[in-house]
Amino acid sequence: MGNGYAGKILVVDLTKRSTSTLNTSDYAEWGGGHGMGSAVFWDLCKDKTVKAFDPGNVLTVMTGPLQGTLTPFASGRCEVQGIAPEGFPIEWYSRSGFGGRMAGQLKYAGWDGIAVMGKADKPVWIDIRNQNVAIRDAGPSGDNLWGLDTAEVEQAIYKLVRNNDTVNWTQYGGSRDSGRSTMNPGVLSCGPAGENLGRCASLIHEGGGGAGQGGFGAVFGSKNLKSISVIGTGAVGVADPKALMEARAWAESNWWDIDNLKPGLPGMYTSTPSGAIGADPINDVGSRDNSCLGCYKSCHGGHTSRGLAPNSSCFDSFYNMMGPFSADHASSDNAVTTDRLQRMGINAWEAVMSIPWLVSLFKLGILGPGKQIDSKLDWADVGSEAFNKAWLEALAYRTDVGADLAEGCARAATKWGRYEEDTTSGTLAICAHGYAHHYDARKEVEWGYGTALDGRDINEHDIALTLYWYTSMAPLFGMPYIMPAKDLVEMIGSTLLPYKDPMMLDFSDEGIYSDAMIKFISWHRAYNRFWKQSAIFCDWGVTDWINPYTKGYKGLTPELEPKFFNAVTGKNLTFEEGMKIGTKIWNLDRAIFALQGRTRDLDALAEWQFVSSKMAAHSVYEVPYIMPAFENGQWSYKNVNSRMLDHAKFEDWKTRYYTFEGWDPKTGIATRETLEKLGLGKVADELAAAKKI
Amino acid sequence: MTATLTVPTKEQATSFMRELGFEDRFMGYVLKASGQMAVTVYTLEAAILFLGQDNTAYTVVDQFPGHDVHVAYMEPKALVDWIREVIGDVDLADAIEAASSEIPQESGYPPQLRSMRELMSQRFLQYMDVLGIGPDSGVEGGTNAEPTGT
Amino acid sequence: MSENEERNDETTYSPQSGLSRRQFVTGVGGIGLGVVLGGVITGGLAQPASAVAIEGSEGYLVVDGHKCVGCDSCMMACSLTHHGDLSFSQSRIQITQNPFALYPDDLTVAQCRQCPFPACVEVCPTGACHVDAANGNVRTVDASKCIGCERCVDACPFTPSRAIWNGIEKHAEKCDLCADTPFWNEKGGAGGKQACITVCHMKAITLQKDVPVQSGDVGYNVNLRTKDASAKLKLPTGDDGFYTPAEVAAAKAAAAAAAAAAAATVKVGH
Repeated sequence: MGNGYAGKILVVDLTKRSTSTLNTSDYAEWGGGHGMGSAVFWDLCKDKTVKAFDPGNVLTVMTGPLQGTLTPFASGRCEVQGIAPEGFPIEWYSRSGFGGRMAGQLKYAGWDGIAVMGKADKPVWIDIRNQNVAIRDAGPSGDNLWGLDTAEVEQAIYKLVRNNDTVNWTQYGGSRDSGRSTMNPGVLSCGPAGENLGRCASLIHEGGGGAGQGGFGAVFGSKNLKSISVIGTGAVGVADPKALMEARAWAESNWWDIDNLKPGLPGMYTSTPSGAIGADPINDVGSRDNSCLGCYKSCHGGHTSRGLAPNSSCFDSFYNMMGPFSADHASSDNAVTTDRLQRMGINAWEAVMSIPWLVSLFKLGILGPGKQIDSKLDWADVGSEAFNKAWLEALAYRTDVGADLAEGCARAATKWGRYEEDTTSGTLAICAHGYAHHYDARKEVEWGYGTALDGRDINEHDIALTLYWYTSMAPLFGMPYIMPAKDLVEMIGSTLLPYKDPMMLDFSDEGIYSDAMIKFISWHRAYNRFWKQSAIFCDWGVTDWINPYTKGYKGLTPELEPKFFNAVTGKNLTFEEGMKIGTKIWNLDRAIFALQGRTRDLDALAEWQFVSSKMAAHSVYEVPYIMPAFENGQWSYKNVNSRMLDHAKFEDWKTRYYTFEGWDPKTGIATRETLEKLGLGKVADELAAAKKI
Repeated sequence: MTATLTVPTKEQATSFMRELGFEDRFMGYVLKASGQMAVTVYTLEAAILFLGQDNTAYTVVDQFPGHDVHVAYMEPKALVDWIREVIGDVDLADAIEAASSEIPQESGYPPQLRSMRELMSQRFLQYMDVLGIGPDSGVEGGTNAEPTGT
Repeated sequence: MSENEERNDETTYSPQSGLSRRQFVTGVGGIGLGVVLGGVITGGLAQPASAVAIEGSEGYLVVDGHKCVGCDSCMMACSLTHHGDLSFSQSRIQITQNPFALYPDDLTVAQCRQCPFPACVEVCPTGACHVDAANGNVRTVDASKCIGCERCVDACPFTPSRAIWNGIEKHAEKCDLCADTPFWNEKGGAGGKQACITVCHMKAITLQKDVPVQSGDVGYNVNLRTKDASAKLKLPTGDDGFYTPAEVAAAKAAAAAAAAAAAATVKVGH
């Protein structure tokens, strides 16, 4: 019947303009997605110290067995990895995920993923039609795609691939049986920001599905690669179709029912459809929500009658521009600005999170027309549509202050001589590695520690949704908790296989440096590396820890993940076995960091997170940040909002964490013994050759 | 217990509407589906606009908390202190405190926010009235407000 | 019958009417009875003895194309339950979408209409595409008889063609209301369940027993948004897929309330 895999990975060498294939089965031990991508990267990228824009950088776009298979939260996901230009001061190898329909097209075309290496001498696009792969001219003498924005280029490619007929069945190949489809190809593109090597350039699919963090749009640009397009008319086999249909019915029965919509829980916003950005009856005549392939969550934005910002959601919406500086903060403007952001192919997070810092510099008289940092943008008008447009164009085309900021805030601040001061005061709220503050590292340490140990803002919402959003929003809205803290941590704790220890969820001042927190961070890295990023289950679907639609609110993790995985692959993988693969992937990624120059002092968080920062006359970080805490022998929901981290305690925690993972506590690098136990002996060899171990 | 808002003088109104320096700024937090974000305000007007974007009044939060929840959070005590000690409008600060004391703790933040915002808005309209500023005046910060005669 | 009577009779196909055969087949409604004579459709109620009557299907997929979120789960479920593997090209329901087109033109649900006058059945030279009396008269393809001529694909009056060519298994196929779904534990067919309906979390597909209005799309693309949570989810609930006047008014009122709440109307520096 099949096992969910297509069987082959496409390798494209843009320098040589040649293609070859790898057998997916050679990489099956990694699951799929990011794990497989890292393993392929390990093999194909001989010199892992190359810079992100070097032709030697290998970028992979990977699916796994569950993609294209009706598995909710998974079916539509792709993982992108490679050396990421956004990382600071070193371009840490990193990853970014995106959803939509591309994953299905790749699988149905017969590919589990694509690896792109080298650099084309002129702009090109990769045109994949089933097993036929062509590297086409994207320049003015060819298909004239270079220079287009991400929406323009995708629409152009639909027409090119479908011979201008996007209504009928399109025939692929020359024979009756060579395949037909009514679908548009799955297309992934860089925009002008990527063409201009902006370090925070995104890759955009379907207008809004975006691999945002890492700057992989600029990796495309550096390879003279505009787009990858794939259309597939084949089929993916699964081990047990009936079990897959039953799993689907079971999962869907524990979800909202559109005919009988029950109340959700405060803060658990992600259990609802996300809605189309800016859709409203005043500015649109109608709209629909959108879902990624095979998913019943529908959190992939939507489509409106104005056609702005399709498939954009969450932080894609340039919400900061709905700030007090703009009197015109209507959703209408939000959609216009988001649309522009996506078309330019700029990572929303960086574009928005840098604004508060820049406005501070403006207010201090350091940035502005004729100032020390010269900028003619209208910084008194931040938030207006005119400013937003000018700001995004400056970033995309490297004009005005965009020339420096296209390098990312961290590099710009360094150039301006402001990095130390501003990341100590917190005016420039970088979390780590040049990536902007997201969820508060000082409170939700799994976010902070995970980010410090990884190569990017981890953007993994497991705790953020349940033990920050829900636990903070319930009292904010005057609603009683569904259960006491003790019961909640025990319910979630029971899913933390193999440990099953509720103490892992103790976010008290002591708890965040505890041995139990070591176990949690180790668990969290492994869970995300395998189940979320390799299997690949979307971060907005799992972990399902608090489910408003089940009895007693008990979530579907850890039952859901292996249920679908095994129905598709026919393996008998347990949740814990998946966790072991996750640990292996985590160790492989850390080995790549080590080769790039990671040492324990670079497993660090920006200084402001350690400093008491009373920002202004009467402002403190007094935002309710309520998390479970175990103190004096009791569990409670505690507001941990004014906490800062402590250097000595963090370093001590790191030492114990490294030891727990089997890494050298002096360097943070895995020992040979640990790597060999994980079956990574050849990784140990390469580290030894580079004198890292 | 309701506090009394005496009509400010022109000098007071001008002062209360002024733009503050970097050291005197106040911060609120947007709590949105995509995360929390600090927003800095340098005027009372900006604080009112910030609070005005809160949509918890017309998002049916307790029924179906959705993606579009936009909580504009300003810590009530800190805001009152800022208005009293930095902006300098003691009457407004007292009025907000008095009104807040009548809101039961258990009802959470949204009723507090609405109460603060309502009082701040009404007070701001009072400043404009005193200074003869019309609603379409495009004067920066109100510090050099000229009566527009509308 | 006189010429006049023929022309006035709704069921009559007449060359003078200017209708093409294809238009006739799609345009006649409400009867649920097709008449086939040796491969030629004739009109009128007085038929030669050798005429064979086609019974109408006992089930029709009816969709709300405005509610569909384009997850394509229906397509995957259709392929999976019929064939045991997943392919868009094996799905008998097609969701065509272009995220850059303006709503409502961004997405179309293309389901088989189980036509009362099934052109696909009519043109099949071997009877592979037939009316399955044992399964609620669903129009379906017996793959064992299919010779791969694709006349059914060509004959379907709708775009994209609902009778499809399966290039993987090399036979024509079409929606059979899940009468033949060996890879599913549920019972399908007009009297049973359909995989597409089962997986659709938006409940944008339903099965109805009565023959839908045949003229245009109104019979097959209906409003399923008025009794579910679409209004709560702030989706437009109008029949045309648009926001209703009441929804527009409510949005305007909410915006006015928001503006009033902000209160300060001095535009600083703008």
